[in-house]
Amino acid sequence: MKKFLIAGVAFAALSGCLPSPPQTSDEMRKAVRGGAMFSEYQTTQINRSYSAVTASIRNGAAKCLNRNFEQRSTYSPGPGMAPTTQITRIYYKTDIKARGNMTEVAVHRRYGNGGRTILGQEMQGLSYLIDITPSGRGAKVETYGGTIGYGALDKAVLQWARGGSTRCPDLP
Amino acid sequence: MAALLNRRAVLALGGAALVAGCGGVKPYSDMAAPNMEMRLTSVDGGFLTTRKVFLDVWTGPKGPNMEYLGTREFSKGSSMIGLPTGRPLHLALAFEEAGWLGGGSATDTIEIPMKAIRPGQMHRLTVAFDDIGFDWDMRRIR
Repeated sequence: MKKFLIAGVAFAALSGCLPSPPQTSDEMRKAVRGGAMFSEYQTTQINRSYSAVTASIRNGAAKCLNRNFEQRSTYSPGPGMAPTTQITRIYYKTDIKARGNMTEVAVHRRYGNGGRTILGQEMQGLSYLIDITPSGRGAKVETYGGTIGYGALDKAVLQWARGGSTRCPDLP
Repeated sequence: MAALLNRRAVLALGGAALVAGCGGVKPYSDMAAPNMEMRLTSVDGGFLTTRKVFLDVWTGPKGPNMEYLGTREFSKGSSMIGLPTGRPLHLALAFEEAGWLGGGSATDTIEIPMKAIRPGQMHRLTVAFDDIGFDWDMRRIR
C-alpha cells in the first residue's frame, strides 16, 4: 500500500511538473543536474576497485532491476454502487553499458502500455541512472533519481557498491 | 418465470466472471522427480499486510508459444518441486503483499529464463521477503 502511495505521489508530482520523463541517459543527466523539480543527484566515493564495484552493481541490477509491478486496489465509487477494481502495471527494464572507463546503468520505467497521458506526457522513460567511474584507488558512484520514493533504491545501490547484500528494494 | 430466468442468468454470469477472474492460476503438479529445492528463508507481514511468494512455471523460451504449467506457493522452510526436464523453462517469482480487509495487493514479479534441466540435476531457489525488500537466488547444486 505504501509502495503504491509513494509511486502515485511521485508519478503525479513528476508528471505535473516535468514535461515528460527523460528518454536517454544524456537527457536524464541534463535534467537532474539542471535541477528538475523533485530530482536528486548524489555522488559517493567507494573504497573498492572500479571492477569490483561494477560487478556488484551489475549483479544487483540483474537481480532486482528487471521486474514487473502490479497494484490492485478495489474501492466503491459511491453508496449502492458496485466496487471497482483498479489495476496499475509498471514495467522496469535495465540497460547496462560499459564505455571506456565508465559503466552506465539505466533503469527504464513504463506505465501500462506506454503511450501518452491526456496532457501529452510520455508514460515511459528513464527513472533512474547510475554512473560508475574509477576514482583514485576506488570508484565513484553517481546516481540520478528523485527525492520522493527513491530512498530504498539509493540505499540498495550503495550497499551493492560496497559489497553488501543484494536485497531488492521497492522501486519508485 | 422470467424473473427466475433473469436471476439464473445473473448467477451464471456471476459464476463465469468468478471463474474467469480466478481461473487464471492453477496449482502446479510435479512433472518429474523432485529436482529443485524451494527455500523460503524469511517472510514477515508488514503493517496490516501479509506477504507471500509464488513460483509460476512456464515452458520456455518466452514468447507466444509458451505454456503455463502452474503455480506453487513457497512455504516457510524448504520444499521440493519436480520441474519438467529436457526442455527450456521460463520461471516467474511473484512477491505478493496484500492488505488486510480487502485493502488491495501489490505484486513484484521477476522472470527467470532457465535452460533445460537434465535428469539427475538439482537446483536450489532461495527467496526472502520482508520489510527490507525481497531477495532471491537460484543455483545448481548437483
